Amino acid sequence: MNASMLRAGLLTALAAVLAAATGLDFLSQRQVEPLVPAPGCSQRRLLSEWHPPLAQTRGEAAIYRFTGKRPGGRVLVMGGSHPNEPAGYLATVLLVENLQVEAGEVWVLPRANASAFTATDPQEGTPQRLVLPALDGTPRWFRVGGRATNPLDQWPDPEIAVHRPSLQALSGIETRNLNRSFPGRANGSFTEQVAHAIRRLLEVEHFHLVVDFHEAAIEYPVVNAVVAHERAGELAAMAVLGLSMNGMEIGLEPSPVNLRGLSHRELGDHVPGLRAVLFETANPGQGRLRGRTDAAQILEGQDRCYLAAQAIPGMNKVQVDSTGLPIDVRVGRHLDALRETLAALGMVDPELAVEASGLPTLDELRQRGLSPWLSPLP
Amino acid sequence: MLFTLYWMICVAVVLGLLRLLWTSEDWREQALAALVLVPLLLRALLIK
Repeated sequence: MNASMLRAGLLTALAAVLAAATGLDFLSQRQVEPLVPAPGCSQRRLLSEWHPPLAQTRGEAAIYRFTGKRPGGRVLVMGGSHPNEPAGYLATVLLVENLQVEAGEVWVLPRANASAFTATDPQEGTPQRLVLPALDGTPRWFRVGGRATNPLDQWPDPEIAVHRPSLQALSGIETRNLNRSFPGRANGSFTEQVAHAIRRLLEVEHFHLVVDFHEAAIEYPVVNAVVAHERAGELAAMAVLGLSMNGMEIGLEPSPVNLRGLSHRELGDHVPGLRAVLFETANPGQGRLRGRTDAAQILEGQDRCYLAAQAIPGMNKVQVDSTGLPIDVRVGRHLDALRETLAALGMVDPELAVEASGLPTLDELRQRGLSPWLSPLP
Repeated sequence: MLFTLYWMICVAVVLGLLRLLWTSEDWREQALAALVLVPLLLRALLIK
């Protein structure tokens, strides 16, 4: 063996070590963090029950069912339609780990687009994980994913994404956006099949209300808002009124009729009798103006670029000050909005009343953070 | 046809890199070939 071959062997070994280290880090994106369901959780089911081709794929997702002793409405709460919007996902985690339902049923789907949890968006600098202390101080980690389905599950993107059945044209990447893919198709793209499974779940199990937790950039016009399908208009108006009376600044937006593919529009249109709403909070880790994006920025909600943008009239759609927009407040807004929406459902139709407890309020989360409501891992 | 052409180019590139890695007298060329080839083959063979 000459010197060139020996050197080739050594360099190949070195490259293999580097590839293994980075490859393991890459593959860790596919780990699913454990959740600790509350004692009130009566059943854990899988999304593929409503669309079997999703079984054994990265689109498979757990659904946690909480059943009350008394009859009432049936509500689905979704998080993780966009896994780069962590307050939406963490709000569903707090539901899974703390919810107690006395009347009616609440089903929680924390990872609606489970595939999108396994990859981050290119060039966004998104942190891989958020780490938070649990009730006993031990660390719990939560994945931050991308906005769209992992390209390993659906590729390539077309130049123009065509929504079905409306034939609305969108930019190519939206073909992997779950919240542009409703109502979905059984034989459509991977993302359309996930949307189809969620729609089938709502249809087959006769749900009365679906709530979709999201976040948006601070400069996005629809932020700190409830977006409601017209069938849920009265319900959402009552919820927003209740939240406003409690001092929360929150808007009510009608679901646009001509913007297709969104959960509130398509699920409201395609599932008979369903009321569909979507909640938005403001995430400093998401917009185009943001500075360095890391876990601290997402958790503490502080960004000096958005703070500076506050001086430009109309640039920020929510007030940004030195206290930031911490994740505790964003999760608390979602949970308070859910509580008011459930109360409004009972007022609009007393037979559909859902009574739930165990959830922290916005004020409690603001004062104590998320930790007291995160269970230690067994 | 295009698919066959694509794979023929891929095979040619891999063979070229292997030749560079094994026969080059310049360690920098060898290092470059190793850093491209190893992750490429690991990705193709292991990660589904």
